[in-house]
Amino acid sequence: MIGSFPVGDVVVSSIVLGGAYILLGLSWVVIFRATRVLNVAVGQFMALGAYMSFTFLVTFKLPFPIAIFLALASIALFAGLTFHFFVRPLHGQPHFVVVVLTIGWSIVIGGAISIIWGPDLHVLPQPVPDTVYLLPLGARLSTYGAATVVVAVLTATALVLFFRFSRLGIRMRAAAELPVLASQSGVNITVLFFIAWALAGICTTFAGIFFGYTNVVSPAVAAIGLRGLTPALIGGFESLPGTILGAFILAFVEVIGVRILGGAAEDAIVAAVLLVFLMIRPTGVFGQAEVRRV
Amino acid sequence: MSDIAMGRPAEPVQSPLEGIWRRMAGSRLKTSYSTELALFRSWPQRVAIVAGVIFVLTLPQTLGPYATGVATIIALTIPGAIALNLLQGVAGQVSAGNAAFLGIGAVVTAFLTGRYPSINFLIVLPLAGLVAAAVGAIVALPALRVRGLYLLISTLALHQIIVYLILVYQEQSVGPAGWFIPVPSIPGLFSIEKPIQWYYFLLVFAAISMLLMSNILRTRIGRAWIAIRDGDIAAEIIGVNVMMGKVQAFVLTSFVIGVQGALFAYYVQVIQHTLFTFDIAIVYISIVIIGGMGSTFGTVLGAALVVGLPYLLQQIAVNAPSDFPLANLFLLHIFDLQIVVYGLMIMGFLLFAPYGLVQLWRRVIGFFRMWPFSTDRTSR
Repeated sequence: MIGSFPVGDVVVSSIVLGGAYILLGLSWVVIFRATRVLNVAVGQFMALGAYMSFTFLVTFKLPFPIAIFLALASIALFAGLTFHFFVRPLHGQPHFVVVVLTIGWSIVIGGAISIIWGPDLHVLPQPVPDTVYLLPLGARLSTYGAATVVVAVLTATALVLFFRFSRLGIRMRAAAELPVLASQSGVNITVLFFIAWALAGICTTFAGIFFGYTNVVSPAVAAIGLRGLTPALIGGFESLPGTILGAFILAFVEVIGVRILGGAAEDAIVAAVLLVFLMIRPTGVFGQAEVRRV
Repeated sequence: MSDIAMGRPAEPVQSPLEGIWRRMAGSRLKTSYSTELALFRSWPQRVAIVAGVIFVLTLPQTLGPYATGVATIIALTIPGAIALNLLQGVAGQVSAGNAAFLGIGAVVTAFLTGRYPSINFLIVLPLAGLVAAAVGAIVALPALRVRGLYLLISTLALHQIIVYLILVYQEQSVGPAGWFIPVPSIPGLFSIEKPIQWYYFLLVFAAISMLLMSNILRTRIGRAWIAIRDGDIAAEIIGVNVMMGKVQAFVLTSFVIGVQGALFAYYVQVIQHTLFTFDIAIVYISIVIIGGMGSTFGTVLGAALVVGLPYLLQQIAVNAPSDFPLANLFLLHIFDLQIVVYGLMIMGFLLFAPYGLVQLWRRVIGFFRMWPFSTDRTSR
């Protein structure tokens, strides 16, 4: 068994899956570090992104770049408006209340998707044909798998640079750290939080589109969203590099675990990785223990 | 010599506002231990409780078989909702584990009735509860280390793992058809088969769980849980064993949900791993939120609303006049519309009545009790 273990295949599949988990993990982290909200509706945003690109590509027959841009923009706006209308009024309530609110919102979106697009499976039209490249050590890499990783790494890098160097990103970090003080020094925190939700919406839509291309677009896409919690938690819900590392750790464990236990174990493996990290390092791999005040 | 010097309490000064103060105090504050401990506090409440009991007991005769079926499911839901409210609303430990514990109770029932076909349900119910309680003790371990959102995440992860284990066990023991559960009965005395029998049978357990909650709130354990919820470090300082309290909360509520799982198994008769989805856990969380955290009566109201609403919508859709605009569309998408309304209901309560139905109820009561001094603010 071990002798014939396809090392190359495991490594390449983990990297491709890791790319998808980076995008998902970032969707949780960007929202959490800005507004301290666990957005459970990530999966539904993701499904919505895939369905919107389907509508723009197939129903409106728009060219590929314009359709994808419109899908990204619409979900970004949708995520921002979600914050504005539903999350902001609950400011000051316990975190748990806001989580349950996003659960309710995810239920609403799920029902609405089912009403608008029906229960059928949709296939996204491919702008370039999907070819499978054979790599050394028995590895296989598809065009869309490679594209997932490239876009994920580019998005993550752009976000890291944005938060570290841009004026807006630094203000955003300040607003997340101490909202009151930041607003006192003239930072418009509601606009910044809106932008944070929109950025997360963009990451989520990318994840949804790539999932749509590597699988089919169906209401079941939404169930994937919760898996993004694990890389986010490995990054401590704070650190972007930690989330990227977490995405690859999770993908690697999952690819090996699914080979041993079968596809039905996917969610359980993701959950087990989460529990292990929660027990060992609840503050994340790069996190620091926060001093808790009574 | 004054009364105070004699050791007697001074007569309270009668002010013109005395009656109003007493009425205000009666609305929220208790002025003596006996009122604090009383289950039934005033005569209108007693009348209301008697009327409610009569309504519930005669429901099959007055409202017919359809309503009885819905009420049966509500009664089946109440123990689990009460358990989650004790854990979440009273002890402050958020959990998404209801579906998993429900599954454990159901699978234990499947195992016992499969292995020992003649086993009595009166033995199965507590055993299912005990196994679930043992698992609950394990789930309590993360609660000793993490809190709040992290606890919610860890119970979510445990849910996924437990459901996967149920799937593996099902594949190895019975296959995709699932387990068949026999009819619960005491040989020679009775067996529970007809819908109306199920209604009264499950009503008993709903009533027991309600009594359990309203009683435990008035014991040392219940007060310790409230202290842990409101501030665990402060609770520790005044001598509450926080670790013990958290473990007790998880074990006791898991026991209740395990028993409920056994009842669920007997009721649905066929058990499969697909029954225990995360959506079920969400239903219970939303019942607690919509009903009102920490309130027994609120939990019952929440269960009735969350469980009953889809059936109500269905009835409206079926009975809507066909010339009503969008009637066909309404009927076509009734299943999705039920889901959308359910989600909107959760959001609406959180945004506009964050303390749940029980708060709306208290506002109404408070309005009449304070009349004519009612303002919108009196009973927040």
